Amino acid sequence: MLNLAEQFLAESVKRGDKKSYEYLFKSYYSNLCKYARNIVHNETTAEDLVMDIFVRIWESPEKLMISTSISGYLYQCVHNHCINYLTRKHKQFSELNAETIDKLHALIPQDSSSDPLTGINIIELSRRIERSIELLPVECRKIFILSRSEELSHKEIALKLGISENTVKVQIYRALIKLHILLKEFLQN
Amino acid sequence: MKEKNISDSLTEAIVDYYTNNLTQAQSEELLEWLGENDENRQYLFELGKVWYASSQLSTKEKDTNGAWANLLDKIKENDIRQMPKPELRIGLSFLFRVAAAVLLLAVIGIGTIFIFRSPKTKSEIAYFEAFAPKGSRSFITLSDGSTVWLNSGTKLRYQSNFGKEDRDLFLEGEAYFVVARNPDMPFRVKTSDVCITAIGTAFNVKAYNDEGSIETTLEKGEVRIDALDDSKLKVESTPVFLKPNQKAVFIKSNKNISVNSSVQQPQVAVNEPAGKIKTIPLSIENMADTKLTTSWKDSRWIFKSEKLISLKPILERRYDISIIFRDSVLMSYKFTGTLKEESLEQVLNAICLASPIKYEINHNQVLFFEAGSVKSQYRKPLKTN
Repeated sequence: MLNLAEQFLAESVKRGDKKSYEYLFKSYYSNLCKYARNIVHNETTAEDLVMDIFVRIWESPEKLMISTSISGYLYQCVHNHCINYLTRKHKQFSELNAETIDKLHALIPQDSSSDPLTGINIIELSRRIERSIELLPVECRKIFILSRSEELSHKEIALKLGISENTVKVQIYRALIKLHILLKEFLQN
Repeated sequence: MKEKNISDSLTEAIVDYYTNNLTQAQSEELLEWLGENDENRQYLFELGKVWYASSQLSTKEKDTNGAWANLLDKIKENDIRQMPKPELRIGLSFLFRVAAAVLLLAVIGIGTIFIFRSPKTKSEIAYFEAFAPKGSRSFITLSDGSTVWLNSGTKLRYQSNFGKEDRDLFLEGEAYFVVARNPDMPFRVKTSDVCITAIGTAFNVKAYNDEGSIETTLEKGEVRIDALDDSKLKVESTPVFLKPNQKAVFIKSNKNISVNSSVQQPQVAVNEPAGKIKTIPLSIENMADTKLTTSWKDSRWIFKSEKLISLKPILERRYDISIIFRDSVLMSYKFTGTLKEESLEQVLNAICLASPIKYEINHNQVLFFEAGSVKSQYRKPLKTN
């Protein structure tokens, strides 16, 4: 599955080659931070969690198990690390009680076999989303872009557009559904 | 996947689930819906793919080169930590041989100090690191005569020329400083977000990476606190000055907030922000007794109506264990007391004596549970019969 360039990169990182490791880091760091920030909603924490993954790779490169793609592997590591972090932190600080958090996690597929990223090239999917956004209704598109590209909170979007937070959420939900329908073929592969 | 006809409140709950903003009521509604069938669970999961992937649309790019430099630092530190013991001894003898600027005086209790010389750097400036591992505390004397107590899980880094040109230290964790007076050379402690400057004074700084705040408590003298910019080098705010028996709390998540209303103006000299200079988001508390904060260094540990959840990180570091609460209600139980060189078991027994709590130790894990909950476990099988 890996193309030649990726194979080569993965192999050199496994051998502990620092230049390749640097290349890997610099190619993915910024995007992985966006991904982590989207889950943990804190800039510094997101950076730390992504850093952890790279420190781990440096310390035991032989454990690098890349089966589908390097990006798939990295995103999956970051995803799992973020979810673990949230589960731990949430039990301490969230207004949800610990029991509710456990229940939520038990009901929503979390294991790697049903990870949202398995078998999906996230970078390719995000490119397709970007193109498909054009097909959303104007208002819906505007709200989705403010939320996803500019990372405004629902509250900030509501204030900016003079609408209610509920409307913002409903529009984001609609955008997700429309995009899912538009990208159905890609998502089912 | 077909579009589902769901209520507005459920729609909101789904979006709030992705953004991590669920309220208790919403989560209950969501749980009920998810529990109905697999289809609903799959639905949330499928939409999640679009949600997670769309995070990549963000236009905020990170400073990759700066992050790479940080990562290199981290890797070095960790490599050092993993060094086998014999090499550490070589490090120490090397230290004495070069008659480095640092004097190691004493190690108290089971505390250990590791001093390292980092691999040669271009500028030939060596870094030393004193490290008190989890489960122990340490004490060092610096070349300028200042003394430092390191609490469990604390790292203190400084350059080999400490005391010659400057007195700069980098702290990760908790330390108590008694600073030798030298008006010509300020003594500066840098943490992840703030820099504490002293001339001659005694103060405590708590700046663990896994805690949300940085606390500075002043016992004697005067210190000033500045916010550090992202490079950890430059100061970018109007300073805050502390007086004895005051504690300044910096909340890391408020980093980007420029004004803080909880600063009590009469007690603190805060210069008027000139132009765009930021004020640090610090809150100042007056303390009746700083012993509560600094007692850890005397192998005595005083606490006053502290919740068990806030004792958790302290116990975890002090005894190198991890604590799990089976019953979340225990987290808010409050404890007052003084502990002196007690073993872990003695501390746990003291906690359990004072409240309806029981514990189990399994390797390095301590499980706390409600004493009464044993009963409810027995009750269950009876009911099902």
